[in-house]
Amino acid sequence: MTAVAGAAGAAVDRPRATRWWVTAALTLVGAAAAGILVGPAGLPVRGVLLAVVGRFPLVHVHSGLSPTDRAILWQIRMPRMVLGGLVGWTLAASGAGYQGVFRNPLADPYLLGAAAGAGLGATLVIAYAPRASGWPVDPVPLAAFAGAVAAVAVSYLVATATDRRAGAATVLLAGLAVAYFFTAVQTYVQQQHSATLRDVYTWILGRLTTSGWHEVWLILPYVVVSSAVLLAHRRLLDVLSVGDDEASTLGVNTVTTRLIVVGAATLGTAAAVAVSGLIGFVGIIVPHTVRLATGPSYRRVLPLSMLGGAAFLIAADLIARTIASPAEIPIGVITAFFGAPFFVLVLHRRSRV
Amino acid sequence: MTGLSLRGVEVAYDGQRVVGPIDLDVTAGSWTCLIGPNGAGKTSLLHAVSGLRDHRGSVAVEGRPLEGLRPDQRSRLVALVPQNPTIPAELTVVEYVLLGRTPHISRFGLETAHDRAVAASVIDRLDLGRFATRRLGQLSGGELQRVLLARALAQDTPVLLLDEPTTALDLGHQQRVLELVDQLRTDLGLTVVTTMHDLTLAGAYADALLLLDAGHPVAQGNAAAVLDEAILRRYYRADVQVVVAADGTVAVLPTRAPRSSPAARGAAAEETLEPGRIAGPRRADVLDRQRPARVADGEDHDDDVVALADHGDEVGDQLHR
Repeated sequence: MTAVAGAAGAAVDRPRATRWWVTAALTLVGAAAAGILVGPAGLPVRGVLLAVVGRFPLVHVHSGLSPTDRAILWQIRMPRMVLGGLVGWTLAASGAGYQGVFRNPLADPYLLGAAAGAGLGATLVIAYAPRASGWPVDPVPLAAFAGAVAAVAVSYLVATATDRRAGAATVLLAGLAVAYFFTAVQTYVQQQHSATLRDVYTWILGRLTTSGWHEVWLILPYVVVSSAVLLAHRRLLDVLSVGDDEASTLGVNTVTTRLIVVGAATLGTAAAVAVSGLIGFVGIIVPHTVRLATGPSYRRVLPLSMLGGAAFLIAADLIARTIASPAEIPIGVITAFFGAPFFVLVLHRRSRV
Repeated sequence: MTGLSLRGVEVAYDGQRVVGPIDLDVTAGSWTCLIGPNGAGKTSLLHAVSGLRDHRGSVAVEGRPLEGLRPDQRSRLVALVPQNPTIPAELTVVEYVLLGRTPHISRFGLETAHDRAVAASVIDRLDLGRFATRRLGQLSGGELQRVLLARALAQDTPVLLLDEPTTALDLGHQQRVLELVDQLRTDLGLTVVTTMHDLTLAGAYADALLLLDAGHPVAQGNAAAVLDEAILRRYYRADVQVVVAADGTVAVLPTRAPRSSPAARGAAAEETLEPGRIAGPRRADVLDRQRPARVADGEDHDDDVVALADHGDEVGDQLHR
């Protein structure tokens, strides 16, 4: 970085919150380590760590884990931890993206009907296409993904039909209407097929059960594309903070920018919802915490939310599967349990500003 | 050279024309102020020039037509400080000023060392260095106005549009902001177009005034020509007295019509006697020091000023009429 002269030079060249990067990275590493070390099987800590280190290129160590322990580590704990990390990463990044384009601190990834759409998709499949019917792949994630994308697309189309410029407020209101409509249909279907209530309910509360690495590979491409697009827009999200009109006078096409960011965030959210159900609060809690710590610039909020979201969900999953072991508490309950008090904290902080 | 030129510019809302057609040539490096009553179309015209509102006709900056340019290309030619800007209270001054470099940065790029140098230089020039890391929500109105100006300057455009830049500022801050704009105009050769409601300040700072009424230009020229009592009375529906000082400075003073009956006047004078006693002589002093003053109609009213100072108890009444 070239030094900038003048009294303001130091401020303009200020180092970018290095300590927060280190904190977020260490938190993620710590959560990931706990995620693979803790569980009912009681794997030896040293053996697990050696097994992980041994996977690095050019490192040859013997972990001493039994074949069963290795299977538990690599086929159960590791994919579950990675999946939790990816889902948390994506939901937090999508939440930050939504908050940026709608200039609304309470926006979350489900704002434009993604949750209602995914819920309807999953409910339709659970009700009308029971899993025993020999599908080559589980249709529930596909239906949830399609439902989430469809709901957001309908929200946007409705908004554009109403307001050519698809202003933030119009899109939000359209999303609200679509979400209520999809939820109404979903509730009706659920009531008509009361035998499926338990399955639907379990899905809605969110879960991170995996069948090995399948789910990880399923959502990884979406997470990569969504994250790359969102990160590429981090400076433009800052520009949008001055409102659509002023951003326009700065040469930004606000309509296109909002559409692209919402599209990327929706893609990531739909993929996450497809494999994990509806896990709430991550998309609000994490970006808010980052914002309180480092300020509102999306150059920090977006990437730090990704790291923080991954760490948060891995930790939440750890609690969900250990606190009532051998039973599992739905992870959505854990995130909400911590989310509600957090909102109180945020409100308290805001009222003091 | 013409810094900004408008030809047949019209703005319409819901198919109904609200501004224009307007032809205007602003000399490069000069200051033109749009004046006119509320709803005259001043802001709409600025928005049309800045590209915020669709318009008919053509706008050109230094001979280059803006129509057909990409938004970022247009934003490298025209910067706008809106009347009611959206203030992201949590952003720091540096972060906010850097947003002004947006038209110079590729879509997915970040600021270069050059962009940061421009922002730092603008922050220094506007004496904002000590506020650089402060959040916008922590600034006073006067400081904030300078920060808004800094973001527009960081855009590095030849044309600067300011919509009511002194609204909500006290008298001293109004003067300092306008002096600053004038200094920047001189130093950087900026072509400045503002809207202003304070006609005295508009006349004092702008090289030319354009009076709009219901979207149409009705008077144009320097302050002495446009700030005419009859013109202002007609288009603002206001009772004013226009005073022209020896140096050509024009002051527009609102006046009040005489009250209906002597009894009512006496009662009002009683009520306002104390403030009148204090304010009266001071006001007269000020006017006295500015002598010789003349009123726009050409008559010498010096005697009136002296009379104002000599009749102590009547002063309050005079000033509260």
